[in-house]
Amino acid sequence: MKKADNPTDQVKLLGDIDRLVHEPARLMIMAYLYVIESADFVFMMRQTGLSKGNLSSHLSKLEAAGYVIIQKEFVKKIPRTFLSLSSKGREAFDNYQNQMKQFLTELP
Amino acid sequence: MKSLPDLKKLEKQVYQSVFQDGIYDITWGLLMLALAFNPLLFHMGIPRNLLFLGELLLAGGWLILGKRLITLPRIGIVKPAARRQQTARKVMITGIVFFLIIVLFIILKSVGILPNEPGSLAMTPLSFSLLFLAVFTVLALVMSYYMLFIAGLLFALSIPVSELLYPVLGEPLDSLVPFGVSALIILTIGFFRLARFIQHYPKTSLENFDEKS
Repeated sequence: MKKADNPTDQVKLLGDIDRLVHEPARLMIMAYLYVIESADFVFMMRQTGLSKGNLSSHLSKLEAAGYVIIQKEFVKKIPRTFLSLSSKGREAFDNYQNQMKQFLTELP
Repeated sequence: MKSLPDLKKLEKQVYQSVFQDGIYDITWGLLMLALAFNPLLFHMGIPRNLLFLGELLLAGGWLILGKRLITLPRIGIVKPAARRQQTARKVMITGIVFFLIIVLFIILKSVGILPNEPGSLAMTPLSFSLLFLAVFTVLALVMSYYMLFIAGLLFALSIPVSELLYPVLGEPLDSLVPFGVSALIILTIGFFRLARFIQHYPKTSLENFDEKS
């Protein structure tokens, strides 16, 4: 991550923010997945309050970027979709946090 | 947004969601209810071993079926962070060791190896309940499951109260009253939390992720 000393450069740092993570719904999904090992789709839906279609759509984008791992499993003959954060996703979330912290702490 | 989400708080909140359904509370309540009714049922001629087995099956069955049929279809499955899983393993080991110590203590006392006189090695009801309260408090803090402290406190209070009531009420009311009241309190809280949980989280379809979205 770049280190900026003057205010203009600090604001410009925001341009480097990962927009895929920055979107509120996806940020919420990634924050939840960051603090657990894995969860199924229903759990994520309940925690985030997102609708089924909305959550699916955001998960597809995160999966395409390699941030989230989606696995379909059968638990007692019932299909379940398990979600977890990949190491790439974890790294992206760490970077996002650092960038945002750096920017937010400088705010008056 | 002037701050990022507090991930530690979020992790704790996610972990505590495991206990919000009231299923564990009701399990504790059922075990307490079993303690209340044990002397009465024993007096009615039901063998002690059969009683213990039946009670364990009832509480265990409720826990397993409740989680599977009520909780899972409503809030799904979560595998906590590795740190929490290690803590859960430690808690389970501590619980088993504590249970074995109590069983050993009861056996040694019943065969006369440990004396019964006050002030001797044998535990008085008060020290026994203080020990239980200490263990339940530690477990409640470690697990962030604070209802366990209330269950432990009620259980710890019931033991000396039962001893005090024995000369007045005799068996089986000396156990039935304190443990029964404690059980009713825990069950009421448990069923209240369960009702709130069911109301808040309606059942949802189990096949879920739509890849076409």
